[in-house]
Amino acid sequence: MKKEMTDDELERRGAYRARLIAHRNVATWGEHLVPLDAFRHAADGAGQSLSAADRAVASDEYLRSEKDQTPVEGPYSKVLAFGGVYNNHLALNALLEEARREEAEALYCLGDFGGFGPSPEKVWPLLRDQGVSCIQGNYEESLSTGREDCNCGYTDPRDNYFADLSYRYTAENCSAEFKAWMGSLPKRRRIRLGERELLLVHGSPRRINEFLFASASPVPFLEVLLNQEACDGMLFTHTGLHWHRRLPSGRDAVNVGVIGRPANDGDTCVWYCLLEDRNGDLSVQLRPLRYDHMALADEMRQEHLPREFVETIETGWWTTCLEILPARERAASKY
Amino acid sequence: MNPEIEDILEVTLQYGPATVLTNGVILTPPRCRRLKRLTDASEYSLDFRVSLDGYDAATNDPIRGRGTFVRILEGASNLFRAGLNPVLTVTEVHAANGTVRGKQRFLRLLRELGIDKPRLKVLPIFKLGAETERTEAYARWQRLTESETPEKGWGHLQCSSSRMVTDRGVWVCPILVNYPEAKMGEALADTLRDYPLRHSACWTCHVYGVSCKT
Repeated sequence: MKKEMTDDELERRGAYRARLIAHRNVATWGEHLVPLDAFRHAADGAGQSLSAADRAVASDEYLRSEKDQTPVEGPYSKVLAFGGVYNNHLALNALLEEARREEAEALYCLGDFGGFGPSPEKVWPLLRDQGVSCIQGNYEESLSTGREDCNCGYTDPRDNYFADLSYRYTAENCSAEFKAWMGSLPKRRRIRLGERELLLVHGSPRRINEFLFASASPVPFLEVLLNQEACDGMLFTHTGLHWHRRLPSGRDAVNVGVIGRPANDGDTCVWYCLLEDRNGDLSVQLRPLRYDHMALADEMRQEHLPREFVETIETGWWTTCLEILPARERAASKY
Repeated sequence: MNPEIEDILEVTLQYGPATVLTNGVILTPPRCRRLKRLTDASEYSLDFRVSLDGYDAATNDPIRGRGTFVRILEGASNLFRAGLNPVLTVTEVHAANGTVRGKQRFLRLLRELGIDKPRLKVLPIFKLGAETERTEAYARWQRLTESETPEKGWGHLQCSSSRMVTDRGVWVCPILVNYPEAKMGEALADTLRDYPLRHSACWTCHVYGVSCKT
């Protein structure tokens, strides 16, 4: 049997309902409540409404291809590209041996030499003296200009806390000469591989610290970037997660991965990219690379780097910088 | 919630990633399972941000409505159980929301609810609308000036590369959608130009690095 409501309950319910419908036919215009019609009338008359022809002009202008003056290197038939060294000199050494075995004609490093791992100076001679063509990542840009932070682009306080530890360690253990060398590097390169011209950047063509994750990079967006840069493909890194997509236009978007830390999949290997011209077609191979990760973990402990970083090297799972991941990549994480 | 939201998301995910900002109160288990099937069928990410205003009913419900705290957490749990781990966004509307102790207490509660990879984002308050009466409006100095232009420009602001598309036109961003003067045009092509950063909300985005993205 339904219980009768007391007067007090009826009054509370009435007040609750009144609150629920209080917004009907009114709109919040800034700090004020106004009649909904008044808001709609003001909104209908606001902004600009271009003609169809002017919209076409505006769109064309926005999507306009504007090729920069970056010289085109090559032509090559086989190159090896990698990013995110993160002070991992052991993986870099292993990669240089791999490049010799593969008889790659050129090696390209897409930036972020420092951070995360131990003893930043150890990677410098390997990059400088072993014929690696480099571009600046956000780390090199920040270190060479004396910035107080790495400009990694994280938005979460925990991510930024560890990014800060990592950056400070690298900044304090890098020589002025190494930093100056970083500042002398270009921020983009172009290479010819067979018939194709590829653009090499750190984050994206438009921002050095843009995160291009596979699950958050729509095909039309990638096509627009390639159109604007007038190239046949682009290589980038920064996210730490490798991927490749052949676009409907036949062009390629390739995140070449990083050799500084594993790819958050429970495997301790790191990743690089081998690109080959095969009779006019571009072959893109994303490959795992084994190195002595336990030796690196020992070095990291000796340098008193955070145990969270060491755990990542030892287990293959990220323990930091997780909050920037889109839902799909985060779902594949252990933490 | 739009009754066609699942169809809308299904189409959206054919073209790119989507982030749903929701109060979470009608995320039932069957709906969450259907949403999971949508994301499994796409190569793109489907993210959820579930918003609340406090770490308990006593602080959340006076702002969000009676009983909403429990329903929001139910919705978040349903998403998590379906395999869609939402980001819980909490505004700094109460002082405790931004403190380590407050966050730890809330994260503990989420783990007790079975959300073992809790994601929490604390957002600054935009002193707009009802917030101006609840606390205070922006001070005169809380505005961007030419002299504050960063060396690398304004690329960190979300409005540098996105717009808010509605059925009544295109606005510069979701925060200013209650201001007719922030409407830029009728179609995206009308809005491919800069928007003056003259609103105090722009100051909040710049100073706190606010983004509607993950």
